[in-house]
Parts: sequence; structure tokens; C-alpha cells
Amino acid sequence: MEATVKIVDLVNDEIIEREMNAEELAQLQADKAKIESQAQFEATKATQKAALLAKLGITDDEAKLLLS
Amino acid sequence: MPTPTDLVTDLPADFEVFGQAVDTQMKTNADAATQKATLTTKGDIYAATGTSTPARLAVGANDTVLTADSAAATGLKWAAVPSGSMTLLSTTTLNATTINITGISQSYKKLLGYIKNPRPTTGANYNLRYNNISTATYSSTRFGSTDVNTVAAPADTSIGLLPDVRNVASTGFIVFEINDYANTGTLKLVTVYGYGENNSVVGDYSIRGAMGFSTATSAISELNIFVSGGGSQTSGTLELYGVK
Repeated sequence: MEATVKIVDLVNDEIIEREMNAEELAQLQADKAKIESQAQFEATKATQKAALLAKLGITDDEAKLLLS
Repeated sequence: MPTPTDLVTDLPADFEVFGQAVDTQMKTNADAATQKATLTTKGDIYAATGTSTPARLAVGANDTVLTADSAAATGLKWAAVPSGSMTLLSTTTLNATTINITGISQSYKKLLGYIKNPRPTTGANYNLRYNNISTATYSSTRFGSTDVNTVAAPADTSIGLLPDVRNVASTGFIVFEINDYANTGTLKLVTVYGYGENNSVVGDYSIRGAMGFSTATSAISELNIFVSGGGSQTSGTLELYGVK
């Protein structure tokens, strides 16, 4: 499916619908990469946190209590 | 005035009677008509001061609205738009990867957006940008069932509206508000709250409340709604309001 952009021009009361140009496609890929990177970061952090809790032998709630 | 069956015996006299009758009727019609010259200025309108009594109501000042006022001669007046009133600026079907709303009027205090029934082609995050700025000038903190609470430095390239929206016919709803969007002296703050069906865990819902900002201080004349994580938007509606 082609990536598209819809431009709603409120000044001229016009709507333009077209395929994304090269610059917009590059931005789309960059956005996608950033989202994936962020999701990976959060997943890694969750894994590390779970491993640490297991190592300490405490639950998530007990860890929160400890830090409060 | 001769009738169709009258015998014409004095043609000049009959014509005179006929002509006088036509003149009389034309004057009656002219007297009953409203003169075009009543309206003298661009934007003037006709308004009645009483039964069958049209009069000129002069055009009001810019950005005023017509308001009923029984004390006014015509029963109408031009008045400032009441504070807090909402004007629908656009209604847009969300059927592209990116939606750009451009040429936003600078005449309001706040922009209010309703995204109704968003549906991506595949599970996707919905995001917001100002003025198509895609550099790392955004930051936000979120509270919701699928996010941890974070306070990040301005390193994001957009404001997240709702994550992982499922690609089904949706009853989802996202609201965003941008106050004082036309000023050029402060960063631009947005509050977001919304919910939608979660794509990763079918049957669950994502609920997000977020506050975000962009460090860019330029007035907002364009908003960009886009999905990331692949796919496009297939349906849903964006209603954008200007609030006085």
C-alpha cells in the first residue's frame, strides 16, 4: 500500500491527496525506526527490571515500597 | 379600461385610459418593492423593522456575529463572539498515512481536536506534530494502561496521541487541546486524552492521558496527524475546532 498524505488547506478551502514524496517517505521511515527503537528500549528495560527483581527475590510492589 | 368585448369607438381615448392604468399599477409595484440602493456597503443586509418594512443593517466589524436583539430597530445586531464558543474549522476523514491541516486561523485562543473512531490499516501509534516540525523538539509525559510515567527531555520528534491502535472498526476517541497556539513567545503545550482498542492484546483497551510540548515557539498554523509503526489510516474523523 502506498504511503499517502492528505493536505487540508483551510485558507483556500482545498483538499489535496497524493502519494508521499521522497522527503516525506524518508521522514516516515525515520518515525517508524524511532518507534521501534523506543519499543525495543522499553522491552529491554522491562526484561532487566524483571531479572533484577528475581535476583533480589522481591516483587514489583515490594520494590516500590522499598523506594517510597 | 376597455374589456376584451368592448367595441372600440375611440382608439386614442381608450389608449389613454389603458396607459394610465399601466402607470398606476407600475407605481404601486415600485412603491412595494425594496430599493437596491438601500444596501450601500459590502456586507450590508436587509432586516425588517416591522411587518413588510425592510431596512438596511450595516455590516458589522470583522469577526463579529449576527445576534438577535429585540431592543434594536431591526431586531438584530452584530456582536463579538462570546468567550468559550467553539467554531468548527474542519472535518476531515482520516484516510491517509499523514493528515496535514494547513492555514489554521490565528483568531482563536485554543485549538481543540476530536479524533473519532480512528482505524489504521495495521496496528499503529497515532501522533501529532505542529507546523510539520519533525526535529527533536517535543517532549511529553504519559499516564495510561500501556505506558510508564516518564518525563523526557525534548528529544521526541512528535507527540504521541495513542499507541498501538487496533485495525478494526473503532469506537475510539482522542481529544487534544492546544492553548494560546497563536502566540510566538512560549513553547506550545498540548494536553491529550483518549482511548482505543489495543492491537497487541485483543480485547484490552489503551487509555492515555498525556501532556506534551514543543520547544518551538512559532505560532501554530498547521497540524499533522500521522501513524507510525507501519501502515496508514483507513478511516476515522478529525474535527478541529477553534475556541474563543
